[in-house]
Amino acid sequence: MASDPNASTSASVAKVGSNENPILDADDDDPIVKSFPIYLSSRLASHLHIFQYPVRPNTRPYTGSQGEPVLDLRVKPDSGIVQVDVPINTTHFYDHEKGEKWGAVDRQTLGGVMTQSEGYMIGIFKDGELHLTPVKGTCQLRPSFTYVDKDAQTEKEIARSFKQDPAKPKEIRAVQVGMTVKSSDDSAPRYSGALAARKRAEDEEFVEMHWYDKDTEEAWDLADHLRSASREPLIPATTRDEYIDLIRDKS
Amino acid sequence: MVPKRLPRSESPATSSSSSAPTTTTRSSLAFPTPPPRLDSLSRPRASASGLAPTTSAGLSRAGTPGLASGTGPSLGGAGGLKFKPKLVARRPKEERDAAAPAPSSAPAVSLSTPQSTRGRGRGRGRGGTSRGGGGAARGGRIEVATAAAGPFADPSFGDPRSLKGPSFEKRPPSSEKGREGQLKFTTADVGQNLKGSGENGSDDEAIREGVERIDIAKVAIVGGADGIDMGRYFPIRDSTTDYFADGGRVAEEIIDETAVFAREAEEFVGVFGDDGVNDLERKLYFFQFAPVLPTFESSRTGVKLEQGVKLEQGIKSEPGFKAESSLPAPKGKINASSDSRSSLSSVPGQDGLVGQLYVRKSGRVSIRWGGVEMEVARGADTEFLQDVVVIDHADDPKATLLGQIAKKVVVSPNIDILFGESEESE
Repeated sequence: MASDPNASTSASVAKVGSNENPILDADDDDPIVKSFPIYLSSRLASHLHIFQYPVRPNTRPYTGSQGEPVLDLRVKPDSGIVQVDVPINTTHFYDHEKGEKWGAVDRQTLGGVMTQSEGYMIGIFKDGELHLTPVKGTCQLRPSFTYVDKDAQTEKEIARSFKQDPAKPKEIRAVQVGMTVKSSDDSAPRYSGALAARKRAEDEEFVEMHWYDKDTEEAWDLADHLRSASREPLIPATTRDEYIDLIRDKS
Repeated sequence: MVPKRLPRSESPATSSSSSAPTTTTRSSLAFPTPPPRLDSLSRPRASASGLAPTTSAGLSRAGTPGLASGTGPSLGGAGGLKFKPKLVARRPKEERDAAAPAPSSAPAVSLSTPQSTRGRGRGRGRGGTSRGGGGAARGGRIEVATAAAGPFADPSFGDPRSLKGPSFEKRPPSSEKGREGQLKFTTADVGQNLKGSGENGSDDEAIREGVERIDIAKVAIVGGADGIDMGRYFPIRDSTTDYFADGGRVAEEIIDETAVFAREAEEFVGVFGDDGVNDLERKLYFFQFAPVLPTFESSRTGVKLEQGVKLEQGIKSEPGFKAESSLPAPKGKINASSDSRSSLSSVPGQDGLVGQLYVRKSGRVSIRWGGVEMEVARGADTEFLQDVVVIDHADDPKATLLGQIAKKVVVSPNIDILFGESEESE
């Protein structure tokens, strides 16, 4: 199968690799008993995310059916900060005293950062077909202690305000105002690196998202979108050799 | 006589996994007269028993099944000091459960729960669902009972109040199998101890749970003729096993690879196999592909997509959602905004048939993607929650929970075939 620039499409497909390969398939020792066509779906591709809750058993999901649905979701789109509010059962194992102290009533906030991912896909089987949709990002949500932070913050502020003596008037002095041209690049102290990112993240506003629980109409409609929009075979564009090169280059 | 102290009983995993008792165990080991150290036990069986305290105590909390009395038989019921770890390949759960009720000819009867047979032979952690660790984690005392097969399982062991001697609890298995392998005691004191002697604080609690407390001190240790095989209480823990909390799973040495593989294949076929198309359909599967995948020509514009698109993201990829506009309509335009960041595997706008998934008789699964052979393996399951969420940053931002991830699948290029074939074509 020498590469022939004038080869017809079907021949190039054959060289590049089709999804039928009778030689490999016909392994008599271990015959194929079932096969599913695989479809790539892109409809939800840039919107699909995985929320991992490392501290939560999978037998207790945050859904309405379990009585513990997600109450709120906030994200900072650029920083990727994600916060999820979930209810707390205040009847069992709940320390009311502390609850009042922290002002955290019946909900707790889980927080995490969304990172983009590669190579992850969500697959569903439907009518003997496998439909894969790439995942955009994943994040791990762990209990965050923002209420403690807030509390600490408030205390700090209170302490600070005590230190400053409000009676002392601000000194008013005559200062000679001079104008000079300064390039702001070097003189102005700036954050860099992680601090800068942190500042950016803090400054960014949260975007409130409306949460639709599983088993809602919304969810069912979207789940449908996991299926590929087309059944057309996509034409492979990489030969095996090229693929090997790709892998090599990547590493 | 100094019984040989086996190295494994000293493994940190053991001792750390137990609550306090480990050291106190040894010191307050109380058989008729508690000797200060195991070393001084004069009974022939002593050394064997000498081993167990640490192991079973260590394991009682972790509840590892490895030390189930199933390994007892090798202990030698009649005064033999030899023990041989019994290497038994792990049987599938059904078999195990089925085997549970029958103590069989093994001299050491499985203690209390069916889970004890699970421990017999240190099955593999994989696929072994609720292990002791997991059970404990879930607050399920069920599995713990198995490991608590010795006098050192008593949580109040080492409690000054219990100086009269170690006692252990035999918890009724929570499964519907009922009790099996009842311990036989020849002393009448057992009955007395049931329903609590009130000497240990935990008695009340134990009673509430229907736990029988049997004071080992009152139990004749003579063994043999009396029908008490001390081997039961001091099961041997194999030194090669490695215990650590892993969501309840125990990582263990692979005993028999082919058996293991066969079982995995079974399980895997279960994922994609014949047991009900419906089962397959209602679930969300998480597929992990290599970041670099064979590309496809876009079926819409016929434009050959850039190869070698930089995929520097990797794990340390930029955070952020890079808000996209609202969800594309089904016939949607190709978001060629494919920011230079889009990886090959997530090029938007590509819909269509890209490959085939094959399941073979042995359970081996493979995928052919764009003509390239890939191997498919089952990914590690997790016990924590993983949700699939669709986030839409449109004007009206909303997020929708589609569901939980049911199973994880890892797909990697079949290098053998990949390189094998390319050589041929040259």
